[in-house]
Amino acid sequence: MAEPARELDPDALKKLAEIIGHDGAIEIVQTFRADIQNRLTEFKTGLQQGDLKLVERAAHTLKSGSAYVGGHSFAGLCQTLETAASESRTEILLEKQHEFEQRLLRISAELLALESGANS
Amino acid sequence: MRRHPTRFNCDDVLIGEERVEKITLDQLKDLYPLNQHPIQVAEELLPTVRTRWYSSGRSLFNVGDSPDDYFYVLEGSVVLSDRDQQRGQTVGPVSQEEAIPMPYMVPSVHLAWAATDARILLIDRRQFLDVIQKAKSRRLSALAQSSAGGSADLWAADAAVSHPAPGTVPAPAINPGVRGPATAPAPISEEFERNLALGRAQIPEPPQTPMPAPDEPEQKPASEPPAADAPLHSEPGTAHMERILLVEDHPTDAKMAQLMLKTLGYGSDWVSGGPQALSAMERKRYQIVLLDVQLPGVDGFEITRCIRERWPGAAGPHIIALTARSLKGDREACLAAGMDDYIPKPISIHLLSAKLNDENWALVDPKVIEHFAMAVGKTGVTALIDSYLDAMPSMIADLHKAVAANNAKDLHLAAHSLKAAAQVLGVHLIAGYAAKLETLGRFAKLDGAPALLSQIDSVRQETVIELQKLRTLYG
Repeated sequence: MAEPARELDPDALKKLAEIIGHDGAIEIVQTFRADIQNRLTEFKTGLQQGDLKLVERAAHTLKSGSAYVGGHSFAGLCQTLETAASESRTEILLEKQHEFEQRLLRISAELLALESGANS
Repeated sequence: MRRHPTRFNCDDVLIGEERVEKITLDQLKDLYPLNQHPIQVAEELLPTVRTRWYSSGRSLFNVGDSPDDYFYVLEGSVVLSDRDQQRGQTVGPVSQEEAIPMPYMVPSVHLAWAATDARILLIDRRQFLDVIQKAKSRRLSALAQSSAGGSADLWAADAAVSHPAPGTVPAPAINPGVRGPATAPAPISEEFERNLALGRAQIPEPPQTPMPAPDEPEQKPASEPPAADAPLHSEPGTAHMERILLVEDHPTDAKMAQLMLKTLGYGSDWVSGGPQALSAMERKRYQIVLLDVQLPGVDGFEITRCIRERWPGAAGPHIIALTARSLKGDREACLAAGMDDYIPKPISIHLLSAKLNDENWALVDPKVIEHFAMAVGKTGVTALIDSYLDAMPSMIADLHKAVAANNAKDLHLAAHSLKAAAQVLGVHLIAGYAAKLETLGRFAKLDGAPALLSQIDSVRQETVIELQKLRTLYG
């Protein structure tokens, strides 16, 4: 079975470092990774309780955060979810939920690898 | 009292320490190294400088910080149109009819200016930087003094330091970042006039007013726990003294913004919501508030209204909206709510820098298009905008290809094309980035090219929106 495509631009850390320095880039990666679980919980809770404002907020937050760390494709998915939540299109949210969660987990793992690589 | 235009004889012009009787374009070119581009020089000098180039088919040159400050260099003479005059009332031998506004590159030439009213001093780069730094220090000293005094009027404080003492040269106006009624310019003494004409004018020293440390912590015992609504994180500044409050609920966005501010030398305090922002502002005076629009609970619009009510007029901070939506109409909504400016997310560090240095900085300068419309008519302008919008994606794609292939020659050519096209329409930010890329290509130093290219990418959508908006005015 083929490996799933990488979520993050492999040069993301380098590109970030060009703007805010190496330490700053690591800080961004750490901050975003630490926030992922909260946003995932927010997304799930919102969906379960029909609080689409919460879902929209979670998707919005993950959209900008993932764009900073090179997850441009995932940011696009977040945009889709954000728009769906704002328009109360629950069927789209449910359809995309599994993909969203799986890709978010992969992003988390890739961020961890980036951190480890940067620190080693 | 409005003064009459001052005829500007070349005898009044200084270059550096030297008074010259006649300025030629060649002399101007000698002022700066050949490898420096005017835009690049202007950016290095001061991000607030707006640059424009005009041509009447002969040699015209202009640098100013205001759309109404023009220097014309024509056949060896310098002409000033000062900001107090109606546009078109230029002083000297160039009539507005002759000065058909056309973007014009004057390579390797740059003039810095320090003009108040109809007075002008041409100075070299180092002097200019010095003037800017001193003017900034004076302004901040005045702000600090007025804060300490409680009831002092910030605008008055700014105005007081803007006018030169006798025998000194007026410093260029720095965007005050505060609101308030305009005050009439103070008279400038005859002695100053005489000294200026004789080339003896001096740059004023800043007053020796003690300055507060940037983001100095409140006087609390170290053991005291922070208040519940205290800033979540404070970053000290290194180069700039501005007090910036960042209101952002997303930790990653907040961290990114604070690190960018830190990179630019600005200190900042971060809070995650509107109520915390208001509490922080009660405790400490902030000059600039970077405000996320989409906050949970009380949104950025409501917070802005609260801030404007609580600190009306000159007492209020300069509020810059941060929003990820970048939709048509967002900017207007932000301004209507009382915000002063707008930055799309993800934030471009260059745009952030430009906005912090000059709240009037525009991605697209409407005045340039307005001038162009005078020359070529509405149809010409809309055709030009359409042409630019059509061509921009492929021009940027060419840049990407050149950078990916590490091809300096292609980068130079592609950047030159984009720069020229952007300049025609006053698309300053992209033109500036393209100029830098052009320089990198010319000298085959491509290390910094990807970062510059990503900055172009980050502002292109917003630029397109701005151009489309302007197009509707002429279409």
